[in-house]
Amino acid sequence: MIELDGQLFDGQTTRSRAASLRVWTDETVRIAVAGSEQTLQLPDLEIPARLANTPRRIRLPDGAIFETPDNDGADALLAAQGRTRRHWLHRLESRWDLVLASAVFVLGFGAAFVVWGVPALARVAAFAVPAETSAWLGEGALEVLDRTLEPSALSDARREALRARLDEVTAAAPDAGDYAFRLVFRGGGDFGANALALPSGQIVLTDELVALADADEELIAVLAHEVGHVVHRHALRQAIQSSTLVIAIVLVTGDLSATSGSVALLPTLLAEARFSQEFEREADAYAVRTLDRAGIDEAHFARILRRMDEDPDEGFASFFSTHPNTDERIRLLERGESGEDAAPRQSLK
Amino acid sequence: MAEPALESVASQPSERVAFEFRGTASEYFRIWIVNLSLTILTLGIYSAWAKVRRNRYLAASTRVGGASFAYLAEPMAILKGRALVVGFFLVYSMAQGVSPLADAVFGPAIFLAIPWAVIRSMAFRAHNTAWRNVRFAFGAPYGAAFGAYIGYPLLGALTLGVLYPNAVFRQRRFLVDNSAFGTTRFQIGSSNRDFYRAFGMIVMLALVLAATAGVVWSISGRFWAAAVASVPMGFYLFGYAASQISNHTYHGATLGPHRLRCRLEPGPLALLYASNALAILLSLGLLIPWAHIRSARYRLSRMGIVAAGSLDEFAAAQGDDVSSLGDAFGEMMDLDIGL
Repeated sequence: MIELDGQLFDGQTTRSRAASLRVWTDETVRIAVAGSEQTLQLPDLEIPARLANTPRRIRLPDGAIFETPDNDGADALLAAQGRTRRHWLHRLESRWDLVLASAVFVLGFGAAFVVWGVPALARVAAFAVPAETSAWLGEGALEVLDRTLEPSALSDARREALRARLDEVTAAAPDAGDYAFRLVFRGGGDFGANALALPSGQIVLTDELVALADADEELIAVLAHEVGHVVHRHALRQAIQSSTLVIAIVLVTGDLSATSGSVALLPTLLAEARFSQEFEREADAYAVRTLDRAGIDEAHFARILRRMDEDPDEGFASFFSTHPNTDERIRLLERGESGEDAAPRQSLK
Repeated sequence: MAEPALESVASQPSERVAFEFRGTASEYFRIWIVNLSLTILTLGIYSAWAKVRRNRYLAASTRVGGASFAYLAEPMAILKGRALVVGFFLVYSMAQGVSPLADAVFGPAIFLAIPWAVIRSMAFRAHNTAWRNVRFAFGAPYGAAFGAYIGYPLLGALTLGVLYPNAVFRQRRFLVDNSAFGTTRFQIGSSNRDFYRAFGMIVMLALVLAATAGVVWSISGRFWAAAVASVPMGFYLFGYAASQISNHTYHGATLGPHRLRCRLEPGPLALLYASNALAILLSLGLLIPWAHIRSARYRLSRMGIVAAGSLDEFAAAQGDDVSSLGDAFGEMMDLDIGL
């Protein structure tokens, strides 16, 4: 005979009364509370499916709740109602082999989402906005940079010559028509020999880099790389990717509000470094195609990269490095691997 | 550990009733991972059912006075609310593509909807939580929510933070004072002064943190060394802020003749946050459920009710059903609504 012990709550007040429920006939149950008994129709009981080992709340027709910790008894009562199947969710959650398979599936999906899903989403989203919006997002970036950069010491004639070189690049560069490129000259300060592309189409070239180049063709290669960052909308895509990742992490960690902030930080940094390296490869490939069209030897690009690499390096944790290893970049260039199109700013180094 | 005594409101003898959390990481992990798998397989639709199952487990695992809590929300109600919110944002983004006026129309609309979303979200959650077959309730006029979530925080920002603790106090008071269990209302037990004192300490701790980082930076000359050195202090700051805000929200709050107890401690809470963060990182996220269970167990172990007389006498209200729209809105907008 099925008999369950529990408490009865009538739904009017929080009064708790010890009660027992037992199956009386095939169709009826009897509930005993404080010496009195009532008979109820078995099919009228609302018995919830099992959820781990939490107490079962059996709902009676008058809205009262019979709460019992006896899960086996409640399952037997469900069976007496003719519902013999154990609930499929509880079955899923009870079998460790299925749970393990779920864990593997979720981890695999999560990894695929970060590696392919997020960049693909960001690409679609970034190219959905008009070029002017993309440029507008980068406005003010130069003012921020100018706090670290110094005025340029280049002569006007040299500037004019280099601006003409940029025009050569943009004339040869694929898909560059939508953007207004402008060359800006600065002293590098802490940045040293470097070039930066801003989403607005401004390309910052430091005096140190100009001095480092042995030939103008090398600077053209650098400019082509920077134009690649702008045309591929890397700054916007970087911003979209980072925010998507943070939102995803916060959604999965749920309401662990204070923890999720610190938890989100490290994977976001790692993933951003990875995304950024992808962007550099994309810009390199773009530079190669541009040089090809302009009839300039790609070896110039490899040469200036090599020379920039000889500058003293920061050295801390290449995991977080935003740029791929120079040897790898040059190897890709030499194989002529332009490949199909595989941040607030992107610099050459 | 010595604790400040809570005098009972009436002169009845009072009895301390502890909360108890019976959830286990093993059970919760299985529920969580099955939830996630099904949510991925159904392209997110299952998330409404997942939320109900998770909340049912957490509520049913929480016990006080010999009975567990119950989460009663219907997944379909949550799904409908979410569908509406997603639909709204779809229309918004399409309108953005069509007309530059879209932001001018939708921006203020979203802004003005926030207080309403807070109310609906709180009401939905309270209405769908029950103990001993009596539901909680939440209800507030729009103006009160506007003040708590927009007016006072804005004032706090305009005064460069001087009135910010006041804004947090108003928000917490809004959440507690508009809540009820059955027909019995809650009332906050802390004052503005408590929040000012807590924020004074938070500012001091933040200054110590900045000074530590600055000294390490100037000695080592490395930014990352300064960042690493400020991690322990950062967690302590987190633990202090979270414990104080929880304590001042719940501790001493009255429910009829009874009072709530909430005595979270900064140190243990900071250690809990730090160990959770480390465990989640090292396990690639698989220990998230374990972290949830430990957090709940610690919090509830520090909470209780100082009962003046019997807990059998709360009466149920005759409430209407509350739609889950605000609930979905609250989630999507990531409002920090916790009660």
